[in-house]
Amino acid sequence: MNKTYNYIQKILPFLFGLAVFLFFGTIYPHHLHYHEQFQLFLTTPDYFLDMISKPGGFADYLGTFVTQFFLFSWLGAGIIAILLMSLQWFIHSIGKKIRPTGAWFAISFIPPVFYWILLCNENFLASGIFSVLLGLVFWLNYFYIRNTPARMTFILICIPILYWLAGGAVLFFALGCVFIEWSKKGFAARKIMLTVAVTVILAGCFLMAKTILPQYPFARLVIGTDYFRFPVLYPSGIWVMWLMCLLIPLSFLVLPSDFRKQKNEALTGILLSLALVVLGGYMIAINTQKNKEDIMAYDHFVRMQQWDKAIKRADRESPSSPLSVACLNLSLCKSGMMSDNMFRYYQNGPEGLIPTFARDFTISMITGEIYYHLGFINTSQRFAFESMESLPNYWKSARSVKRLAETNLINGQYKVARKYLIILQKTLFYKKWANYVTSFLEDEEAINKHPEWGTLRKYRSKTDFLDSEKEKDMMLGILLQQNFTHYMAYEYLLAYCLLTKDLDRFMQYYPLGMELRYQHLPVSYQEALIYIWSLSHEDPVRTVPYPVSDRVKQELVAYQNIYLNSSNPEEVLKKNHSGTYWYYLHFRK
Amino acid sequence: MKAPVYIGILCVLAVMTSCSQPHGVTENKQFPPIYPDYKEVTIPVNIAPLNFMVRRAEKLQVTITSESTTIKLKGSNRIRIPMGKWRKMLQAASVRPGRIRVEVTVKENGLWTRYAPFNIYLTPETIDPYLSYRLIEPGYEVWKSLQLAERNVETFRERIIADNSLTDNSCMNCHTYGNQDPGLSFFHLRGQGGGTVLNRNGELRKININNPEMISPVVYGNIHPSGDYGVFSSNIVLPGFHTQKGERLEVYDSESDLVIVDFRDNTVNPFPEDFPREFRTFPVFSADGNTVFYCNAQHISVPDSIYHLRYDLLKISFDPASGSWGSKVDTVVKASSMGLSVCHPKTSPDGKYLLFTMADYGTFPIWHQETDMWLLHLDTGEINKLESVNSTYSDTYHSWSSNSKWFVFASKRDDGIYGKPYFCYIDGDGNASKPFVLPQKDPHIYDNTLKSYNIPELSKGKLPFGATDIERIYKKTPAENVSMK
Repeated sequence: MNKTYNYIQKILPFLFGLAVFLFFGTIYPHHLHYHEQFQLFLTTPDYFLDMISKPGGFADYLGTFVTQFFLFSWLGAGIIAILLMSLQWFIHSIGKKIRPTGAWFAISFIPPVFYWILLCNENFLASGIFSVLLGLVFWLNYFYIRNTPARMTFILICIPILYWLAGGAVLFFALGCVFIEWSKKGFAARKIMLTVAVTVILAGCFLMAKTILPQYPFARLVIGTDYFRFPVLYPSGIWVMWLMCLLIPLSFLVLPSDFRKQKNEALTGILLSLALVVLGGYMIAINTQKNKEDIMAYDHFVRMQQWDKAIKRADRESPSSPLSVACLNLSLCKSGMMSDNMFRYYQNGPEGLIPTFARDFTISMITGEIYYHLGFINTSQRFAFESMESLPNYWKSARSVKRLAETNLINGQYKVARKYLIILQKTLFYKKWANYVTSFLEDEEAINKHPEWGTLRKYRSKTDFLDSEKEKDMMLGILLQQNFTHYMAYEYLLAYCLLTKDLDRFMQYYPLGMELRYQHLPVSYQEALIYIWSLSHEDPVRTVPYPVSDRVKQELVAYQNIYLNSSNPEEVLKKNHSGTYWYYLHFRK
Repeated sequence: MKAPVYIGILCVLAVMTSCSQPHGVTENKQFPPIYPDYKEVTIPVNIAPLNFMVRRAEKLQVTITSESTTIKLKGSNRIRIPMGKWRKMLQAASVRPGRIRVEVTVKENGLWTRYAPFNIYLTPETIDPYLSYRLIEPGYEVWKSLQLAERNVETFRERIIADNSLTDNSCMNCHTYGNQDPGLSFFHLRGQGGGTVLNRNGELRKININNPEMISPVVYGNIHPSGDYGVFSSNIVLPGFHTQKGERLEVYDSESDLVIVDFRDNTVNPFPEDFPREFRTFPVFSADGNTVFYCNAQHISVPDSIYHLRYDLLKISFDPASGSWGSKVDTVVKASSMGLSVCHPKTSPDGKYLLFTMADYGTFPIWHQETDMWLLHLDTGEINKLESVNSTYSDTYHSWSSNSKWFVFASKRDDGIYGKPYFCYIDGDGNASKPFVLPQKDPHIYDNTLKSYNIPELSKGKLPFGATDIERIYKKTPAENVSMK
């Protein structure tokens, strides 16, 4: 039994690390991409100095440093696995210093599992792990000092240092040290003096920080590190985490002696390990937000222009949220498949085509992609800017800055494009791209020949008008009228009419696509045209003047039969006809 | 044993000395490509050191020479001039105008180049030592981080005087002084605990200058020289977004009018009703306080006719004794007949000039690239476009120094998006010199920052309040209400 338990103790941290690695690598990879895009780590001394200019800033710096590697999800998964394994190791090591026992080994996994659960929320950041780890590093070192005055001096000196490096994690360090001192034999007066001194220094640190940095709310200065993307919100998870880091090592002190006996140690340990695996697994499962991962996945594919991956994902399971559907529709359009296939997937109205602007960093980012590819370069620039400005922690976004550089390059605003590129040249993973783009600055010919930027230059509006989100069809119409070969503007315009069920406008705009010379009339247009024709003609299948295929005609007949004769047509039609425009028109709200 | 050590040290020193002197220097007759551009500018004797950089340089050697002093500096691609030496050098010019000569030698791609030396002209006329501005990302509709900051232009010290992270992330408008006096200033705080914050010698009041009879809470404004009145515009401000390249944001009013606020009894005196319904905005008192200058345009349909919206500069008399408007309006600059639109007039404290900006159309100059600064000589009525001051991008939002010899303005000349404070000297004949940007300790700061310096305003001294005072007044002080006169 003991041998087995020793073996478990050795491999459990690695199994835990593997589980974390696989979770973030396979189930949550796009959460990692999501984190990466909403920060901008610069490899400059100025960035470092700026980050460490507030309490907890060093942990923030380390957090943003590792988050830049999340661009590669497997690398990010590995980093998180190592960090959470380190967290367990420190908790266990401190516990062992307090009272060596194998029985309590499993509970050292509670804080890292808890942090794993926190990380299931896309707004918990990697910086927080560093804050906690720094607190634990300091606390572990405390145990190596034997001499009591030296140990006390260490505590008092470390409090301000740790506070500035890791923010509020200093609280569990200070309290932990004081508790340990009180648990030791010695003069009560000395312990009281230490407690008072620690309290005074802690209070002094917080007050001093507020004096130096009056612009920060006091609570934010106490927490210091940005554990959460919304710095004005202070989720209870942070305090619970600190409490765990304090209480779990200290619980080694209060472990009943029966559990420490060698014969009971292994059994206790194994049972606790099992309980932790079951309970931890359950908690992680219920906190895993698949719907958000789904949106992030589509967003990532759009960002990387991996249109086929987005479509493949939709083929496995049709997306339903407006943002995912908008990404899918863009992918379909860029792949030349939208007008034929869009109704094969779930459609949720015009919001699933071009979502309306919201003061939100995610929606703006995704919608900006659609405007960019449509050639609304200024609008795309605005959305990139607004997305970055909406970031609640005031960080910069590498993705936004990249898009700002691109849109300014396309617009010929080279001076400001250069400004953004200079910033990107100070990053690890965008430097190469920035250097590449810099070579295009002020080279009109090269930009015009570029497959993406050159095309977008042709697509963008040649006349000025104020954009209006309430009249998206008008905006698309203006763009199309300036360039009748702009197939995306045409397809988005008609898709907008179909999704808003505005068939009059569909008929009005449909002829504008003559110059696009489709090999065959797209299926959704065939379905709409024959439907409109059927409203005013007796035998639409025979008389329809548009090039509607026999398959569509047959399907209309079948659809009509069920629609007119079934008592519950929505359910019956769902099976074989939910991929038609008619089904969307009749049954989707 | 000792002799070889000394010889060794001497050899090392000799090698070091020889390394420090560039070899094979080629001469270039052009001025060096320094940033910020401090070549041939006129500066006051109390300005902070003009640190600069050469972006592509591997090494820099700079010699700054005045009549009595020489400063030699080396750097990688930037130089930082020691404060003490700089002060000493400038002190010599505190009695009579002088100049300093700057020689820059640059190592680029392994080769040294000595550029033509340039001059920096010194004038004994000082600039007000403090500058306030709003730090904001030049966005569209969304803002997150807003700060009002105060900078000592004689040093590099910057202080945050208001931060919206302490005021529920509410919007806050730019800070405006009365008479360039740190003891008399205001700014608008928006949001639930908001109001117009009025500072009188550090005593802060929060006034909700809004009333059902007004169009909206007040927006642009100016304080009367006596400090008893404020003149404000009340505007419904709307944004529009241009779709064509280069154009960005259009901010326009669907309604706007003027009011006088008596701070002594919180009464509001609306613009006389005898005049037709028009757009009136950007009011400012004359130096003697007996006139209000403002921008005026015919009421047209916006945004449909936005490209035809043009404001003229008008004036109306004001009686400080009774706080009442005059009955006659005069046109000062008929910009619309020139196909231009006036905004942001500012009278000089000595009453000689009125500085304003003109754009092709509209009322929000900061996003109009063509916006330029013009100077009106109030005694002769002559107007001059300040060619030596203006750039190809927006130059606007200016403020005078208390001696009327300097003004500061926000210019987007570097990249078209990010505004920075530029200082400009006006000589006795009203001639403007080449402007220079606010010096920074690290000249890289302008490359790295993504913030704009909005509405820079000069002041004779340090403001008597800080960010925590603003937090307190936002959260704890109830706003005073106003009533219509």
